[in-house]
Amino acid sequence: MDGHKRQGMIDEALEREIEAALGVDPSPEFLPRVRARVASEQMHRGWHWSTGWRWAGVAAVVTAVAVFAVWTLRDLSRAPREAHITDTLPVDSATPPAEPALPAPALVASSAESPRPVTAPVARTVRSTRTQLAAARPEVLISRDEAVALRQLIAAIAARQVEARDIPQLGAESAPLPRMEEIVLEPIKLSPLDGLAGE
Amino acid sequence: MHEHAERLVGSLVTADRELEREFEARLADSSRLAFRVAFSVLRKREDAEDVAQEAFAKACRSFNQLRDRTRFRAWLVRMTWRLALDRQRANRRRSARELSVGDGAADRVVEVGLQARLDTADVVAARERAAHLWNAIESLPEKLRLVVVLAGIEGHDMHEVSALLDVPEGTVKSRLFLARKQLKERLSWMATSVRG
Repeated sequence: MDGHKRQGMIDEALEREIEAALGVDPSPEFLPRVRARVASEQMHRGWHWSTGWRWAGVAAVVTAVAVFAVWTLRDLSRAPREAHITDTLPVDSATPPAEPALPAPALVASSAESPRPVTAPVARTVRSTRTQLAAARPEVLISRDEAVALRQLIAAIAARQVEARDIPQLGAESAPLPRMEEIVLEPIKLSPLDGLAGE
Repeated sequence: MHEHAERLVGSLVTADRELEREFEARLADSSRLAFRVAFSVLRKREDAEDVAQEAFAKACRSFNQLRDRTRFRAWLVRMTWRLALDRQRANRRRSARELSVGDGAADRVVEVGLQARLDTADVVAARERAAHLWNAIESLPEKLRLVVVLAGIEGHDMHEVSALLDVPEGTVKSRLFLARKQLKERLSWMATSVRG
C-alpha cells in the first residue's frame, strides 16, 4: 500500500515538474507579430485570387479571338463564290474594255470538266467594290472554252487585230427557228369492243 | 450576365472574409498551444515564437483546404512539432559548426559558470532539475515524447490528447504510461528527493 502511495506521489511530482517546465508563456509581442504575419499571408492569398481572375480574363479574350477567327474564316470560305460572280461581270462582247492595257478580267469556267477556276490578280479594293455590285446581279456561268475564246477576242481587240464593229451582234449568228405548226388532235370516239358485246 | 458576375465576385469576397474571421478566432485560441509545443522541443522562447509564427503562416496558407475545421488544433500541433524538430536540427548543425571554430565556445562556458555563481543556490538547483527533466524528455522516442508534452500542456486529459494526435485514447494511455516509466527511470534522483 505504501509502495502504491509513494508511486502515486512520484507520478504527481513528475507531472508537476513537466507542467512547470512547459508552463512558459510567449512574450506579449508574440500574438501581434503572428497577426501581422498572418495578415501578410492573407494579402498574398488575395493576390492569388486576383491572379486567378487575371487568368480567367486572358482565357475569355483568347476565346473571343478564337470565335472571331472562326467567324472570319467562314466568311472567307464564302468569298471565292462571290469572286466568280464578280469576275464575270465585265464580260460583254458588245462593248470592248475602256483601257486595253489592263489585264483581261478573270473568267471562270463552271463546267464539270474543269472545276479549277481561272482567276486573274485583281486589286483588293476593286474586288470588294465589284463584289458589292455583283451581289445585285444574277450569276453568269461560262464554259471554259467560251472563256478562252472570249479572252482571245478581247486580247485581239486590244491589239487592234479585230475591230469591234466586225463582231456580229449577239444572237444574229444563230439561225432563225422554223415556225411551229399548230398541232390538231382529232376527237376521240368511245365504242364497245366487238368480242365483248355478247357477254 | 454582368450582374451574375458581380454576385459571384461578391460571394467570393464574403467567403474570403469569413475565412479570415474564422482563422483569427482559431489563432487567438491556439497561439499558446503552438508556442508551448515549439518550446517543448526548442527550449528557447525566441526560437519557439519564430516556429509558432511560421506554423500559423503555413496554416493560414492552407486553411481553406482544411475540410474539417474542428481538427485545426491537431493539424496545428503536428505542423508546429515538425517545424520545431526541423529548427532543432538546424540549430544543432549550427552549434556544431560554431564549436568546431573553437574560441567562442570556451568563452560561453566561462560566461555560464560566472552566471551560475551569481545565482542563488535554489535557482541553480531548479535550473539543474529542469535541465535534467528536459534531457530525459528529449531522450524519449518521438511518439512518447509528444504524448508527454501534450499531456503536460494546459492540463490536457487523455481524450484531448487523443484528439490532438488523432489516435485512440487507449493508445495515448499506454504511451503515457511507458513515457512516465522511462522518465522515472532516468530521473531517479528526483524520486529520491520526493521520498525524502
